[in-house]
Amino acid sequence: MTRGRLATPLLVAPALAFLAVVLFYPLARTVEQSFTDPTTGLENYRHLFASGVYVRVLLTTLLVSGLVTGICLLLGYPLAYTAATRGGGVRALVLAAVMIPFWTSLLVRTYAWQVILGREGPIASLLDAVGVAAPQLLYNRIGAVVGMVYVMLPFMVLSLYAVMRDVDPSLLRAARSLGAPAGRAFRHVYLPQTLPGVTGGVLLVFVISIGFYVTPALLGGRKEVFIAELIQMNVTETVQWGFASALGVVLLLVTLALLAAYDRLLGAESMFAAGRREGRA
Amino acid sequence: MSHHTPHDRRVSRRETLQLGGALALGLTGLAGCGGGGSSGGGSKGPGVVRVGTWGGDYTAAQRKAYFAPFEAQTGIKVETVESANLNAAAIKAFEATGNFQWDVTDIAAGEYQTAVDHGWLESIDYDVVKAGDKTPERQFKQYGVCAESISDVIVYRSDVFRSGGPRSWADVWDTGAFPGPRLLWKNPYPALEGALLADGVAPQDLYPLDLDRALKRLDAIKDDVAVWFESGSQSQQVIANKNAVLGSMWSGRAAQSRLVDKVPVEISWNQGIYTPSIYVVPKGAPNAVNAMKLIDFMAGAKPLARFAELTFYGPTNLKSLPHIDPATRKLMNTDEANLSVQFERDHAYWARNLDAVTERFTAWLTS
Amino acid sequence: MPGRPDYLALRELTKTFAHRHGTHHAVDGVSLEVAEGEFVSLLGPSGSGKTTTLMMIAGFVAPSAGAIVVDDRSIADVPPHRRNIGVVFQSYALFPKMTVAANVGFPLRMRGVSRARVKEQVTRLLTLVGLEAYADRRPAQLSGGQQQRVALARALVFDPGLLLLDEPMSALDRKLREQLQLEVRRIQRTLNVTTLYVTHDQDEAMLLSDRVAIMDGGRVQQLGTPREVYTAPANRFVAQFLGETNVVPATVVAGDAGSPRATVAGGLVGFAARRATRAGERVELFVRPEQVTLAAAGERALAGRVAQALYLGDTTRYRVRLGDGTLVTAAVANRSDAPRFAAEQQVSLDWEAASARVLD
Repeated sequence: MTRGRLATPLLVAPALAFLAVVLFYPLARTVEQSFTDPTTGLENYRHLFASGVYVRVLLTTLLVSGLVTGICLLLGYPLAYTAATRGGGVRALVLAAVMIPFWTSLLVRTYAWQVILGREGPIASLLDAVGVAAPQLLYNRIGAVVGMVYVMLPFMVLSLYAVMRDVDPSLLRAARSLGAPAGRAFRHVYLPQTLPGVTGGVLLVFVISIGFYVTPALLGGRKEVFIAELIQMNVTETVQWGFASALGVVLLLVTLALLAAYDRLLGAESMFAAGRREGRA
Repeated sequence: MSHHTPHDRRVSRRETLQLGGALALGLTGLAGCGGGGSSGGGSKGPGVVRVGTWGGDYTAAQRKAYFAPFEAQTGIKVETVESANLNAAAIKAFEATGNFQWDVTDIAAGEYQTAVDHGWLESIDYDVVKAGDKTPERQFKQYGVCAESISDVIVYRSDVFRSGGPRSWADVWDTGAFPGPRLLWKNPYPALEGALLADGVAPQDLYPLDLDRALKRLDAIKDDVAVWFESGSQSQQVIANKNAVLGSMWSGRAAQSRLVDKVPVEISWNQGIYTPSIYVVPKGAPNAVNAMKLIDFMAGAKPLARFAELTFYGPTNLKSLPHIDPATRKLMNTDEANLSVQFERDHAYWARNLDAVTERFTAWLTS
Repeated sequence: MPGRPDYLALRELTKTFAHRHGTHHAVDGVSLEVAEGEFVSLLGPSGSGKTTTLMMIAGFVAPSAGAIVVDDRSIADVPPHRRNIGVVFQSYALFPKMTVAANVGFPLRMRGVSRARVKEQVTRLLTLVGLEAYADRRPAQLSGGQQQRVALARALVFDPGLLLLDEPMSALDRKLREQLQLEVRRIQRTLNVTTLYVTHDQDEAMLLSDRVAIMDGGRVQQLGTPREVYTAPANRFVAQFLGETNVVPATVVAGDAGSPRATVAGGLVGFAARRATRAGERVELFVRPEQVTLAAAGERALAGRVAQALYLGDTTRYRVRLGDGTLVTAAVANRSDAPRFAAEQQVSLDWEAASARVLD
């Protein structure tokens, strides 16, 4: 065995050991607990699927998370593009606008939205002044989605920005010189290049969103109860750890299934960047 | 009374390991594996006591009314441990791991019931907790001592309902006579109890709750509840911003809205639902003796009065009331006039049925 | 071979950038004409404006003033994707996620050409550049030279009216460069496409071009065949930019206008001038080292001493110090019968009058 062959497993071993302790073992214990607490068997899962509320809440969670992810992508892509392709002042401005909220406390931001979206807030006042009936923006799905998008946007923007920065700017020029108008050049050349960033951002935002519940609980309405909130209730309030574990396991499986579907759709290629500049052999 | 699920029997070695693994990361203190007995005092002078507390204004008020004067008086150091989980579940974790994050805390009455059912609490030492400056019939329990209390009360904005607002739960349900967005706590207790009371059930016939009837009644105002609030401060914000103009709030928060935020909030005490908060000591807590001393202090007339003034939570110690300034006293849920029209929640019922009821309520809420 | 003489015409093309310290003329009134099928290089140091000029023709930079006319039509308002100009970028800009064939076929697909025809044309171009076997590879799997050829094929597959290349060889090593230079020229001649080639490498420009435009400071300093610009530089910059040149201070002696003469360090030499010179005028004579004839002391007009003799294989470069301290470099081919001189040796030198020019 050459030294190179031996080195790789040795280098990875500490990280794996860490993960084993911090991730794999608790995960295994959680799965086990879902089958053993309070009684051994499938009781927790039976109960989970029998009472419709959990499935419904899970679907709501996935739906709203998907919606939030989509909106983050639509808003984040142009933002990241601007930051990546413009220099100096504009880039700094965009990145600051994205990062500063990121560094602000989550609760502070959430309460800020309560003020902004509220019945007496600036948006409602503005619409009143113009004579338009202000729709309810708070304590319903709109509030929850707005709040969540605001929290998740930096993840999407940074993920996209990191990849966009490495895209060779002359590629778009080449495409145009070869006869592609701006729209087609973007679709055929730029977009595929940024796909790893899109994937990274989508995965990141989606996975964080489904585990999220504070913001939708504070800004959403009665229908914006997320699965994580129920898990939390079962852990800290009703002390049913086995059932909470079962909820967690179901959430995990559903998420893995969705990721597998995503991968099937877009291919493993979308996961990895094609390398920075062309290799000059 | 306790035909509870055999949760306690499940505290096995493996569970200990699992809990230990999960909790060990970040818990400070290698204080005693399975430490029994109290070590308050001992060779290090008067010693220390660790108090579990909610944080923020609440803890600041405790510090002012209780901890600072207690430290000055006894020399025992009071350490606060902030946590969002001051409940039976947390005590369960302590008992399982032998790692006590705090020696004493106040928990809701329902939680108290659960903890008692499992035998997770120390009996109160009534040689240390003296009856002199207290109201034993209201405060003293076998495993805990009541301090402050809270009520779920009916509230409304007086500037919206100038000729008078809702005076009963039935009024809250009456969207014709009292139109406007409502706020309710996102919690099964007052929603279900209020619904049944609105349907004409008398307080003494309330328990066990007829869930079908309650949920059916709730359907009637489902769309009129603009906000199901999650936290006290949220409820204050909501009533202040007029995102809701009537409904139910925690009495302390309603009083705060009125006296501190200067929002024109009126409290209808009629049919208010009363819950005391109980100080308990987990079984086997290392500083149990000091904890008892602290409880003795906190439940006393004057400190409790001070605390009540700061937080607007009514004292369960009736001897505290004279020490509170009149304007504030009127808005205390334990003031005689107010308390007489309220009734106390059945904590045993909730201790036994919380899980199942919560699930049904959540199912209803999200549909 | 070359068709209409002004297939591509640049008229007073200008690009200015304004910034804090004033305006900067990146391209300053460039005018030139390229004949159909001709290969013209834009040669100059960095910052001379050659790439900016190219980018304006391609349509990526908007001119501040002036006109760009291709085949009698002004293209100033035509967006890049409709100019029908093939561009080879310095970084090749191959689309990394597409195969070689997909890359080369891209411009045809953009033009709505049928699948069958696309395949046909792609094969044709790939064969032309010698890469038909690599059609299904990805750019990352190709060497630098191969990528460059793909870029070339892609830029030519749609029969553009004009081909622009922006320093395409700058990333390649010398051997490869030499190979590819000839390739490019061969392909260009085969297809007879009008070509504008930007480079800072003199040898390359001289080797490839029908004509060379020397640029500096945003202006065309001289436009002419390689021989013209080399042997008859229009000004001081061109003379010193291309190859090596001696700058010899001299004083004009009165002589008839047909064959002016000047003294250099005491010796009398002839020179060529494009303007009239007065007796007694101090001038600088520009002489290429290979035009200097070196001989034993006393044989030629100017006397000097060898300060340094550098053997370079095919030539020997002698640095000779004249009486007045001027250093003159003479490049002597190392033929077996050529005289050889050693350092410190006394020698003499002069040149043909036509090879020494007065430049301002």
